[in-house]
Amino acid sequence: MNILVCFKAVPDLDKLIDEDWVIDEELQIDTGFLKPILNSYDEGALEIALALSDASESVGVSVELGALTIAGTRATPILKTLNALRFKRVVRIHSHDDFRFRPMAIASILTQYVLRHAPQEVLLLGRQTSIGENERTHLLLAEMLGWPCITQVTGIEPVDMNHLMVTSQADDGQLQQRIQTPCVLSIGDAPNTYLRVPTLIDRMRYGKRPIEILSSMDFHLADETEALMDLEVLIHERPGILIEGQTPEQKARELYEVHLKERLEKR
Amino acid sequence: METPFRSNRNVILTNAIKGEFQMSLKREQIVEALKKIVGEDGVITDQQVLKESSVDRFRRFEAYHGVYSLPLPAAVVYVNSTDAVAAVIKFANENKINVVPRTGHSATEGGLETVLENSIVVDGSNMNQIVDIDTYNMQATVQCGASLQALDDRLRDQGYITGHSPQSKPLAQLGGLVATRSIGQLSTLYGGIEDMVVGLEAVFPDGGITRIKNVPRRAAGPDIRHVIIGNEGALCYITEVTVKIFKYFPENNRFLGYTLENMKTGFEILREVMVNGYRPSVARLYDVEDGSYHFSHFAEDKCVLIFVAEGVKPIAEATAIAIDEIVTRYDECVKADPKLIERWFDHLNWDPANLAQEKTEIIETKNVCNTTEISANWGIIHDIYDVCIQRVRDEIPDLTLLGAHSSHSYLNGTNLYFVYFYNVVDCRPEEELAKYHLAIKKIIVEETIKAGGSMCHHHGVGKHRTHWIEKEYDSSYYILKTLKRAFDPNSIMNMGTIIPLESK
Amino acid sequence: MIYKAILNGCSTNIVAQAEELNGFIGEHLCSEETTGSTILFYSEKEKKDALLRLVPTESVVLVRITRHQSEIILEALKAVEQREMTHLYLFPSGFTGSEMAVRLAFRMNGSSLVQVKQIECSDQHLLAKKTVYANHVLGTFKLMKKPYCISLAKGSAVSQPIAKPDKLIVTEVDMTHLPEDPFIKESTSIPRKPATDLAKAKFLLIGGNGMKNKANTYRLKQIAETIGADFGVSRPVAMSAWAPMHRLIGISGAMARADVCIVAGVSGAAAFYAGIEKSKFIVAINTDAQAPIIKTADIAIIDDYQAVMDELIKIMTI
Repeated sequence: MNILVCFKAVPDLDKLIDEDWVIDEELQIDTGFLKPILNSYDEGALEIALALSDASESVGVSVELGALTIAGTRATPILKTLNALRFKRVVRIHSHDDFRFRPMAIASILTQYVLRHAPQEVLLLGRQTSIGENERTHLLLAEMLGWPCITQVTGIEPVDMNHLMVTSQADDGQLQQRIQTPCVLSIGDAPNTYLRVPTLIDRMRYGKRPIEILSSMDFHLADETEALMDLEVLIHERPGILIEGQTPEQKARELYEVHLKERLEKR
Repeated sequence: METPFRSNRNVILTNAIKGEFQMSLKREQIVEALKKIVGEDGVITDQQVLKESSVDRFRRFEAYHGVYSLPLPAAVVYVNSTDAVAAVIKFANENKINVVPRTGHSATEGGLETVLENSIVVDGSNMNQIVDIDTYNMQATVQCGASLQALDDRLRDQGYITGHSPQSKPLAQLGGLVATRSIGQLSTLYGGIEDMVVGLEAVFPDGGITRIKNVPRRAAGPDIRHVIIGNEGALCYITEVTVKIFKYFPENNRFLGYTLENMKTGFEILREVMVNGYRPSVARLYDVEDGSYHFSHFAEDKCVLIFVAEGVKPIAEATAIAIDEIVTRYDECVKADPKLIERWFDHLNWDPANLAQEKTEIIETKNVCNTTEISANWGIIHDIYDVCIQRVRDEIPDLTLLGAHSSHSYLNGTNLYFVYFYNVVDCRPEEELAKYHLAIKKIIVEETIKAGGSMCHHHGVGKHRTHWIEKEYDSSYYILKTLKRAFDPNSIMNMGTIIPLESK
Repeated sequence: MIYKAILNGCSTNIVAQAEELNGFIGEHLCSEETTGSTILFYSEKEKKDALLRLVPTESVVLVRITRHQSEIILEALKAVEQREMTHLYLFPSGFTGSEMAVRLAFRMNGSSLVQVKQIECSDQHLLAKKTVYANHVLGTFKLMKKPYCISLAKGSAVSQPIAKPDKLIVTEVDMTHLPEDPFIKESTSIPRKPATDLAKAKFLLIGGNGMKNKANTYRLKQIAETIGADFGVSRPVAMSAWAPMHRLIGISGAMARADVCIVAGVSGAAAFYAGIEKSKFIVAINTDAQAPIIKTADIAIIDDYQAVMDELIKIMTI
C-alpha cells in the first residue's frame, strides 16, 4: 500500500509579536526570519502515517511511506528528518511561488504527481495550514482524482490490502467507516499526535538519502476560482485593566465586588 | 564506592540500617507541629502535591509518567515571613528533620529532591514582595519568593534591569536563583548572580536570622556572602536578597550573528573578544548539531556565533564594531541577518504555556532533552568538547541530538553547555536517568575534571553530581566540608545536596 | 442574486443550523435584489412536519434521502438544481457544510470558500471574508465563478429563531433511489454525548494549559458547576485529553458569546481568542503578565488561578 503524506512547512506564527503583524503592498507578512516548522495538522498526518505503517505489518499489509511538499529549500531540514524516520519516498516539488491561497493549484500538482509519477493508494493531508486556513485542498484533490475523501480523521487502522478503518469526527459525534482504497484522508483534531524523533544513528544512516526534487514548472497548475483581494490585521482590543492586590484572595474579592456581582445578577 | 546512579532510596535504607539518621517524630506529629507554627492553611499534605514536591525537573520523565520513586515529604509548608521560616527551621533542627528550601520549583539538578523520609519542603513563594527599588543607590531588595520576571518587568517600566536573564526567568524566584549561583544569558556584561548580590538575609539551622548589609565593597574579613550564595539550601534558607540594578538602553542593542565551519575557530574568536577587554552582553558559540536545532533556517551544517552588545550608545556601538572586525578577519565566518538573531533571542526563555505541553509531548514521543554544563580555561576547552562529544556519541544509545554551545565567556576561559535529546527505549520511566542522562553526565563530568575544568558551571551540584564533589575540590574539599559541619551540625539542610549523603 | 440555503434535516443540531442560517440571511441577504429558498434534506418521514417549521425562507424543496452521505447529497443537489440558475449556495457551519460547499462548487464549476464571516454581493462577483493566519488576519476573497458555494463560520451571524412565514411553499422530491457511496463499505456513527452547547452559555469558565493536569481540570470543572458557570477548555487541554473534545472553545470547537467569560491559565493566542471574542466581558487570570490574553481581556489578574477561584467560590457561595 503506497501512502503519501502531503505536508507544508510554515513559519511559527506564535513567535511573532504585535509589531510584526504588518501587511505589505503585495499582501504579504514578513515571516522570513522565523524558523519554519511543520504545519500542525500535517505533523499529525505524518505521525498517523508512521503509526499506520507500524500497525500494517501485523496484519500482513506492506506499506511504503512517502512524504511530499511543494516548497523552496527551507523545507530541506524537515525532509531530512522524514528520511531519517524511514519515509521511503521524500519529495520536494520546488517552487518559490506564493501558494498560501491556491488550493486548486496545489491539488492539480498533487493529482498529476499521483497519476504520472508515483501511484498511491492513500493520500494524507492535514486539514488546513495555519496560514491559509483554506480547508479545501484535500477535497479538490479527491474531486480531481475521483476518489472518496474522509475529513476530520482522527485515527486510521489497517484492515487489508485494499481497506482501511477510519475514525473521524462528524458534526454529531464520531464516525467509524471501513473504506476502500484509493482514498484521500484529511487529518483533523487527532489527539496526541506529535511526530516521533529519529535517532542520531538513523539520521546518519537514512537522513542523507536523496530527496526527489521536481519543479512546479513541470506541472500544469489549475486556475483558482477565488482571488485574494485584501488582508486586514485583526486587532483585539479591550482595556486590560489589571486588578492589583497583595494576595490572590484580595484580588478575587475585588473582582467579585467591583466587576462580577452586578453582571452576574443581571443574567 | 557506590555508583552515582543507584536510586537514592537504596542509600537511605543503607543509612537507616546504620542508624545515621534518627527520626524522633512520626509523620503525623510533624504535620501537627507545623500546623501549630504556621497555621492550618500553610501546611499541605495533599498526595499529588507531596509527590510533585518530592522532585524537580531532573526527574521529570518519571514524574510525567506518574512514577515518584523518592520518599514523599511529610508536608509542604508555605511560609509568609522570615520569622515563620526561622520557627520552622528551628523546629526541624531540634527534631532532626530534613528541610528542603524551595521557591520557584524550576531546579534542574535534583536540588529539590526529598531523599530522606519525612522531609519538609519549605516553600517561600508566598514571600513575593518587591520590598524596595532604590534607583539612586542602584539596588533592589526583594523577598525570596519574588519572581525575577516580575522584578524585571517593574524595573523596565522605570528604565532599569537586573541584567539577570536565565532561561527559567518566567518561573524562577530570587531565593533559588541566589542559592544555586545561577547565571543569565547577559552575563558576559552583567555578570552572574554572585556579581549582582549586594546584601542578603538568611535563616540558619539554629533558627538564627542573619542580615548582611548593603555596601558597595568591603574588606572586613572574608566575603561571607559567598557562604550563602550557591549554598543550594545545604547551609541556610535565604529569605531576602538585594541585587544591583542597571540602566536599560534597549534602543542601543546591537545583534551580530555569523556561521562558521569549526568550533576551534569559534573558541579562538570568543577568546580574542574577551582577552581584548570587550564586554558584549551575549557571546555564544553553537556547534552544528545544537545550532541546527535553533538556526537551521540560515545555518545548515554550520557552527553559529552570536553576539549582542548593549548599554550606553558609544559603548554598544564600539563593542559591536570591534567584534565584527575581529570576526571578519576569519575567512570562514559568514555574516547572518541581525534580525534573525534578534528574533531568536526574544524567544529563548521558557514559555510557561509550552511547559504544560512538554508533558504531553514527552509521554507521546518518549523523547527527552537534558543538559550538562561545565567550564574550563581556553587552553583545554576545545579538547574537552571533542572528547565528550566523541565518547557520548560512541557509548550512549538512542540519541536523537547531541551538541553543545558556549554561552558564558570570561577572561581566562568559557563554559560548555552540552545538550542531548534521546528516545527512551525499552526502559521503565524510573530507569531512564540511569540509562541515559546520568550515563552521559558521567562521561562529561569525568572528562572535564580529568582535563582540569569544573563539572558544574551554573546549575549547581544538586544531588546527582555529589559523587564527584571530592574530585572537583581536591584538597579544598576541607573548606566545603567544614562549612557544612559548622552551620548544619544536625544534618537537616537539604541532605544529599552538594555533599553526598554517605559522606562523613 | 438567487441563493439557496442548504439544511441537513438528518442532523441532531438542525435547529442551531437553521437559526444560524436565518441570522446570516437576515444580515447579508435581505435586499430587494436577492431571492432565496431552502433545500432541506431529511430521511425520517416522522420528522417532516417539525422540520418544515425550521425553514428560514418562504419556500423550500424538501428532499427525501436514505441517509446523509456526501455522495448522496451531492447527486441529489445536482438533480434538484439541474434547471435552476442559483447563484449562491449557503451551507451551515460545521464539518459537513464545509465539505459540501467545496465539492458542490467543483462539480458545478463554481467557486467555494469555507468558514465565511461576511459577504458582499454584486452583479459580477461575490466578496467573502474569512480569517486566515491563525485568526490574526481577516482575508477578503473574490469568488469569481458562479455558483458561489460557501459555508458559514461559526458565530458569523447572530442566530435568529425562525419566524413562522404566512405561507410556506413546499416542493417535495424523493431521492431515496440514489445509491450509497460504493467506497464506504461500512459506517458506524457514535453520537456525541449531549452536553451543554457552549456557544449558548451566558456565564463561562474556561481553563487552559495553566491547569497543568487532568486532576486540576476536573477540579476547575467542579468549581464552574459550583458557581453556576459552564465549563470550557482551550485546545491544548482537549488535545491532551484532560477534558473531552466537546468542551473545546476556539476555532476548532465552540464559539462563545457569553455575558461573562472567566479565562483561567490560558495564554490566549489568536486561534483560541476567536472562541471568546464575541463575549461581553472577559476576565483573564494568569501568572504570566506577558500572556496575550492579558491585553485582550477587560479585566486581568496576574496570579495563580487556583487561589483566586478558591476565594471566588467562598464569596459566591455565602
